[in-house]
Amino acid sequence: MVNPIYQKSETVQQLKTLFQKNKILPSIQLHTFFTEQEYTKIKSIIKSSTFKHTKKPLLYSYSQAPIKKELPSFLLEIQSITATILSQKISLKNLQLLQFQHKDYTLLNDKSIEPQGYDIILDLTEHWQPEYGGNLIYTNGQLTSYTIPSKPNTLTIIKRTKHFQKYLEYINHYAKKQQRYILIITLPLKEK
Amino acid sequence: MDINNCSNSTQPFSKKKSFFTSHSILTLQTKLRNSKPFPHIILKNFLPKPQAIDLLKALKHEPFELKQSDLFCLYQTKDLISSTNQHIQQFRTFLASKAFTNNLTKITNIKLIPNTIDMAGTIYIDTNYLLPHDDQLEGRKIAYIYYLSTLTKNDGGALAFYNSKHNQPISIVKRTQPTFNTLLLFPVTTNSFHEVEEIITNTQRIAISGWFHG
Repeated sequence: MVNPIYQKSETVQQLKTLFQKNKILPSIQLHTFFTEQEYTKIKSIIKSSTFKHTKKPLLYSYSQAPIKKELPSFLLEIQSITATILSQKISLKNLQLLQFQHKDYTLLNDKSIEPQGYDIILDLTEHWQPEYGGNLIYTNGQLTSYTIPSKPNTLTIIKRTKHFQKYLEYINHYAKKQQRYILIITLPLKEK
Repeated sequence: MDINNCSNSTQPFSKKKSFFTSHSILTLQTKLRNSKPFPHIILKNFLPKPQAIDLLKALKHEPFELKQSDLFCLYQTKDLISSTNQHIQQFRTFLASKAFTNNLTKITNIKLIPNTIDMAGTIYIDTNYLLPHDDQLEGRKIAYIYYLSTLTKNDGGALAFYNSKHNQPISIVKRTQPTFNTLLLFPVTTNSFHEVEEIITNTQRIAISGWFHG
């Protein structure tokens, strides 16, 4: 169950306003998104998933797991709230469950440019320290970049505006065996 | 060691005995041809040791800036063409000289334009890295790295070479640990995929690197 505060209609209205506040890269972070009990359930599902490491050296290095059948009930809650905030139907077609650990990364690549759209990211990482690296970074390739540090049980919604692309910074040896889990839904920008 | 006592090291590089002989060029041609996963050569003890020490000392006085992107995290100088240090300028002049580039052309069969090299100092400290890439950019013909520190396997910092298929890197098949006073060269091609592995100790990986242009 989603944190009851995010289910109040006045909160959702405030979130809609806040989301549009940053014109360059509209975004919002919903901390403690799920109730503690629900979040514990999700974590146990995630941890029991079978992750398979995959690497395309010029693009990424991470592990990926198929979405388990138990997950959709949680996803439906994410779907419902984000649909209200974004005033857009949320398709779960482009959904990835990713695990990053020491030596993993993603890279920007001219041949693999993401079109404008939304990223809905549920951070499921525990006990992560900033010195491990692994920040999610949105950059326009010039001087502007936004860093999204890891925070467990946080739902981040970002509108990838023109020229902005994202990458997950290399995870260094201080992470040891720690793992970073991210569930990410990518959506195309709705034509108006 | 008091590196100020290395009085012999102030001689210009051009007055030193030629690095390449016709025999060594033939040997290096063979080494280049036979190296895997893509052509490269490693020249150990590249400079007389006192000169290498002077160069290291000089480089440490250059201003370094932290460079960070999706691809790398390291410290780098501006192009050393702007350095006012005599040891650095002598090294640059030597490497960019017609004599040296002509010999490189003989070894690699790649036409180079003398005096058109890029050159920067790099320092990688604990957790720094350079992820896989191929170095390809207009005009770059041969990449070089001249190491001014030595790192063991336990330090990380290896230059790692990828094998490739259909011009895409597949996996690391060769690692070279930096060794003081060693020059490593490789032609920049669609298959020259490489990376600098993360430094995992407090040993600094210090080098001068860049590209010969053609």
